Order: sequence, then C-alpha cells, then structure tokens
Amino acid sequence: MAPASASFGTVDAVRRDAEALAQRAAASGQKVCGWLGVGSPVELIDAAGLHPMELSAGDAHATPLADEYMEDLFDPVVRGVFERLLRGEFSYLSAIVLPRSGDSVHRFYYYLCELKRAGIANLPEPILFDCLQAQGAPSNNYTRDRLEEFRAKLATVSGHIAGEAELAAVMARASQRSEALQEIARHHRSGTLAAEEALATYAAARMLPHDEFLARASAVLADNAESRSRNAPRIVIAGSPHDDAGLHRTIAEAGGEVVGDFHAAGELSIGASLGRNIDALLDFYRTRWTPRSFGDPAERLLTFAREANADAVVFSFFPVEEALTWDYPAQAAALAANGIATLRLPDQARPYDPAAAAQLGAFIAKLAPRRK
Amino acid sequence: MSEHAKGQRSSKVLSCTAEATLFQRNFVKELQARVIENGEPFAIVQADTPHEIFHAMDIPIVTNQWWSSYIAAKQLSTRYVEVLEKAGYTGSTCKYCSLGLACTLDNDPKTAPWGGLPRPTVLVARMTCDCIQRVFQLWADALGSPFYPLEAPGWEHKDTRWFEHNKHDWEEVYTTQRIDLMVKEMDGLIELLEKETGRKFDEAKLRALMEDINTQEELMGEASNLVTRTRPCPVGIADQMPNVMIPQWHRGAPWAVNHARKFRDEVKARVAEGAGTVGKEKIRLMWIGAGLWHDPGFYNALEERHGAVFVWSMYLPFAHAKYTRYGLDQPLRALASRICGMNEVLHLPPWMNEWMVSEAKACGIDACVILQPETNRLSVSGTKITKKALEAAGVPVFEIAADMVDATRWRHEDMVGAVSRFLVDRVESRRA
Repeated sequence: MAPASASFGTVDAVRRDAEALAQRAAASGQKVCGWLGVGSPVELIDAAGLHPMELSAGDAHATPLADEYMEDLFDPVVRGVFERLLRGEFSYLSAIVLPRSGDSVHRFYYYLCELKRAGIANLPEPILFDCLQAQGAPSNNYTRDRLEEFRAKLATVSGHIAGEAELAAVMARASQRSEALQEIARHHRSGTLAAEEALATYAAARMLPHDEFLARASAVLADNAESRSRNAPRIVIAGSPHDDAGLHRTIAEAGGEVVGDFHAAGELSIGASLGRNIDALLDFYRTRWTPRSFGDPAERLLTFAREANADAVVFSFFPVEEALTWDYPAQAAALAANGIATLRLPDQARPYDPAAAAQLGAFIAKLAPRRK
Repeated sequence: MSEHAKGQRSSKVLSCTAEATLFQRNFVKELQARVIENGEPFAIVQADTPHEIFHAMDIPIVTNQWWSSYIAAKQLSTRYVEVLEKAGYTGSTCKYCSLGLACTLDNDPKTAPWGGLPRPTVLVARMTCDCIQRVFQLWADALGSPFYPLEAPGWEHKDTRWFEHNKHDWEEVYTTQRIDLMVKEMDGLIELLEKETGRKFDEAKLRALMEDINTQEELMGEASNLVTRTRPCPVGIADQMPNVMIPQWHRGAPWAVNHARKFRDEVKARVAEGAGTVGKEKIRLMWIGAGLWHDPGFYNALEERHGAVFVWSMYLPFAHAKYTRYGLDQPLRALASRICGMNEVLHLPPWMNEWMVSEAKACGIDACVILQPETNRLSVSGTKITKKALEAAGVPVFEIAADMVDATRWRHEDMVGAVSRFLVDRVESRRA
C-alpha cells in the first residue's frame, strides 16, 4: 500500500496512481476489471476477487483511433476511454464492465463486442450489466435474473464464485467508502475541503483499491478539519461530469466557492445499498441516480442545492449531452422559484475550456452582494 | 432561403404510389375526425412500439415519428425547433422525437396541424436512448396523460444472420428473457388500455392480425427482392417509401395487405417490361438512414447527372426481414420478438453492419450514402462501423450530415453536389 497522503491532489494524479496499482496487481497475477458508468456494480466485481477500477479518459482529448468507429454524438469520457483501449493502454485488463444505465456506455458495449468479434482490436472481455430502472415487477424481476448472470460471468473471468458472506463483506466495504465520501461531501459543503480536493477524492473512491482509498481519505479529512470558507458566493456545479477541476478553479478565481458537484463524477457518484445481500444490491442499482433513472430531476437538484446552502447553480453540459439538457429547464425554474440563481454555460468541452471565464465572472460578481 | 425552397419534390413512376398517398391523406382525415371531432380515446406512440395491440383493440394511434414528419411536411419544423429553444431545451435535442412535444408546448391551435393533439389515453415509448423517457414524460405531463415506458434491455446474444433466422427462430434470436419481459410489459399496457377505454383485447384477433401482417410482409419481401435485386432497378426510393411505409403504419389491415399485393404486382410488371428508373442505370446506390422527409427530391437528383439510382433504402427490405413472424401460437410472444430488437438491428453492431453488407452484396450496390443526423445519437450510432464494413466489402461510402426532419441547415444543391463529387471520385473514376 502506498503511504497515506493528506491530499489526493488532482483527478489525474489519482488516475495515475490507480493505474499504476492496477498494473502492479495484474503483474502479480490478480485479474483487473475496468468499469465505466455510474451504474456499475463495483461490489460484485470486488466479490468475484477481481481488482476493480473505474476507467478514465485521462489525456485522451484528441481521439483519432476512436473516431474511426465512434460517431460524434458519444460522451467524450466514453470516447476517451475507447481511445485509450485502442492505444493499448489498458492491455492489463481482463474484463471491462459496462452498465446499461447510460446510452453512450450501453452502445459502447456493442462497439467493443464488435471490434473484438471482428478481430479489429485486442480488447478485454466486455461484460454488460443489464440493469433496468423503470418501476414495476417486470423490470425488477428481469434485472434480478441478469444480476445473477452477471455474477456468473465475473466468476468465469476470475475463476472464483463469491458466496453470500463474501458479498456481504464487500457491500459493507462499499458502505464504508460511501460513508467516507458523505463526510468528504459535508466538508466540501462546509468549506473545510477545497472543491478540487473533493473532486479528486470522489474519483479516488472509484479508482483506487478500497484500503488505499480509505486510508488516504481519512488523512484528507484529518488534515482539512478547519474551515477555509471565504464567505464567497456558494456555487453548485450541475450537468455533465467533470474529470478535471478547471471549472472549479475558474469559479474560485472569479470570487465564487464551489460547494457541491451535482454530476456523475461528483456527489451523484456516492451511495451504497443499505442491506447486505443481493436483493439490497438490486434495489440500490435499480433506484440509484443514473442518466436513465426516473424521479423528479428538479426536486432532486433543488434539495441538493438547499443542503449545500447554495447561492447559485452553474450548469455545464457537453455539446453531445442529450439527456440532462432535457432536465435543465425544470431544474432552472425550480431553483429560480426558490431564490437560487442559475447560469448555463455555453457547451463545455473536455477538458474544461476557460472561454466562459468572463461570463462566470460577471455572474458571480452579481451574486457577491447577496452574501453581505 | 425559405424552408420550402430548400426541399424538392421527388418523381414517382407507380400508380399505386399515388393511391397510397391518397389513402394516407384520407386516413389522416379519418384519424383527425376520430381523435379531434369525435374525441375517441387514442394513443401517442413511438414507431418501435407494439402498434398491433392498438390495431387489435381498434384504438387509434398517432406515431411520434410520423407526426414529426407530418410537422416537417407542413414546413413547421423550424418554428417548433425555436419553441424548444425558447423553452430552454437547447443542445442535442433529437428533433425526430421532439417536434411533437414542441407542437404541444407551443399551444397554438391556429398554427398546429389539426389544431394540436388533444389529451391521449396514454403515451408509449420504448426506452432506446437516454432522452426518450424525458421527452415522453414532459409530453405526457403537458398533455395530462400517463406515460407507459417499455424497457429496451441489453441484448447479449448476437446472431449476425438475424435477418435469415428471425422469422422462424425468433425465440432464440431475440432471447426468451427479453421476450418474457416485453410480454409482461404488454400485458400491463393492455390492462391499462382496457381500463381506460373500455375496449377489450382479444388474443384471437391479434393472432389473425399477425397472420395478415405476415401475408403483407411476404408480399413486401417479394417486391423488395424485385426492386433491389433487378437490373435496372424498376423503382427508386420515391416510390418505395410510401408504398412500404404507409401500409406499414396500417400493417395487417385489409387495405394494407391489398396494397402490398398491388405494389408487388406493379413492380413485377415493370421488371417484366425491363423498365428502369432512369434511361441507363449506371450506378446502384444504397441509402442508409431514415428518409429525408424535407427533401424527397434529393433521391432523384443524381439520376440524370450520373445514372445513379437509390435502389436500396432500409424500409422496404426491412419489412419482410424484421416483421414476418412464423409460429403464432402465442401471438404476444411473436409480437414481442418483432418489437424488442426493432431499433437495435438498424442502429447497432453487429446486427446493422452485417445486414447492410449482406444486402449490399445481394443487390449489387456500387456506393452507399449514410445519413449522419447531427442531433440524434440513436439514429447515428453504428454508422461508422457499418461504413467500415461496407468499404471492406468494396462499397465506397459517403457520410452526409443532416437531420431527417429539421431542414434548417439543409441546402439541396450543396448536398447533391457533394454526393456527385463523391460518385465521380469513388465510383466513376474507378471504372474509367
């Protein structure tokens, strides 16, 4: 285990650490299973004895290899991961888990299967987690059966069939991670933890091995116990996920303070099932937030912004975002009705493009008097 | 340039084409009368949902994609795109699925076709992308109706020759678990419809309808083989689309079955005469994607200049390949197998590329044009892998960035010019 550090640094630093550890695990004979998408059941990967790691797009901003096969409308994180797979940077993976809980990730599964079938690329085994999220018995029962099939597929990769006790143990570990992240989120809201550190910690929970994450997260919490709040306008970032803190830094430079990340790489990635068996896991993944989950997106964001005592919500969407943009008008209206200002930035590229800095500055300048 | 000036009319050679169009015009009037004037219960449904249930229960349906193309044909797509933008729905908003919502949100009976749709009994969509559940929920909320979502689960069993196997072996091709799920969902839908409309579902009636649909699709299959495999191609896309699509909206109805027969016979007669779409057919083209509903004349534009004929578009060959179902002892299961892969086989590998390559080879295709809708991931997906597969099979491919119903950025002459240059560079020069 690497020595506990009081800072995760950046998402990219976490990624590099995580990939080095995963490569080391693979070299020592443990099978590594990459995953992508907020609906991936990491507990089952863990229970199968595989080394789980969320896959990152990393520095794959230009994606010439992926562009050969993937159309423009795919999520840039998925596209970046695809690029890195085709570059051979994930050659140490034994499998890659892709859930049905997001359209880009779901389609990516078919693309990988096809490239593998056609012998176009040497890829890890793609495994679909076919989790349905509509209410009702048909969807629930269907997913229950698929969950067992999914376990069996992972067992084929690892050669290990996890028993119920092992599953309960890894679910308890997932709850530990979730509790640590809830604490990180509280520190994020209360101003004792910088936004960039919080974002990196959320990434670390998805990428690093369990013990490594918990040790370092504890150190982060211990070292960030004092408030550093600047009494600045409190901002929540919503929309497409952020795997770098460019927007967070721009908001800080403009005089604001990011106190919440309402997106798939932020607080929406936190959560764990309450129970300790397969049915509890089923309930959790069927109802957790994903791009395909149901529920009232306006009420959800409003509750989040209120808990963060936010003055404003800044929306930032990828140009290809086709789901969350449908939620935006109702979310903006609900926030406005409750006195929370909103700003929708022009479409945001990956990595973050600071072109909107002036617009953000003017927006935050108008918020500033509200805090006095 | 006005929207109207951008699109051009297509030229048609079959007399049954006009009959199909006239039938649909009258049907639209009848549907309008049933839904608007008589206030009959009706449903708004996506194209890839089990229309057969509604037909069997005699409940009128308005298909979202048809309604979108109707709106586009009324030159209203630009207006409704602006309505969405004003309401804050900017970004990658799928026009093909959202123009109907926009029409409702606009709430302007003077402008809207039919004065706008009244409150339906239910809205039904299969959740094949992330946005459709949102579009339909917003639409349902605006209309005050329930939204009944059908799942689009993953599909791990990949039969690359699905188009050969699925008429008989549909249980295996589409998998028992996926069929079971859809049957349960359809049971729930039927229960809702019976409760809300007072009309009863009769499985025997559905089975009879499914048998008539088989007859219709077999006739379409014969017509398809004649159209796409014969040299010269007897009828182009402008004749194919209305003659397959309009009966498909009414599949299994006596008119639809009779029309399929009429279409097959007319095509057969042209083949017997050796009649072709152009004077001298030089290039056989494949069109991949939905129809360019705002510029049907595009398909004829290359005929004179290059002798290039669009002999293949998915709608006609798809009819027999995907809709026909043998073994109707459990008609709901057969219907579920028809629906539960409808979108996937057209837009995802390996189903899409394997079918397209197989068809290109069988039809002697010289080149292919693939529509790349810029705001619709569902429609655009699978196109690059298909392009690579076609090119590997010796078929040059041109990608055309455009929307099916939004004409805002479409320029007829520019597009025709671009395809023309492609044909010169990739097909004609190769032959010279």
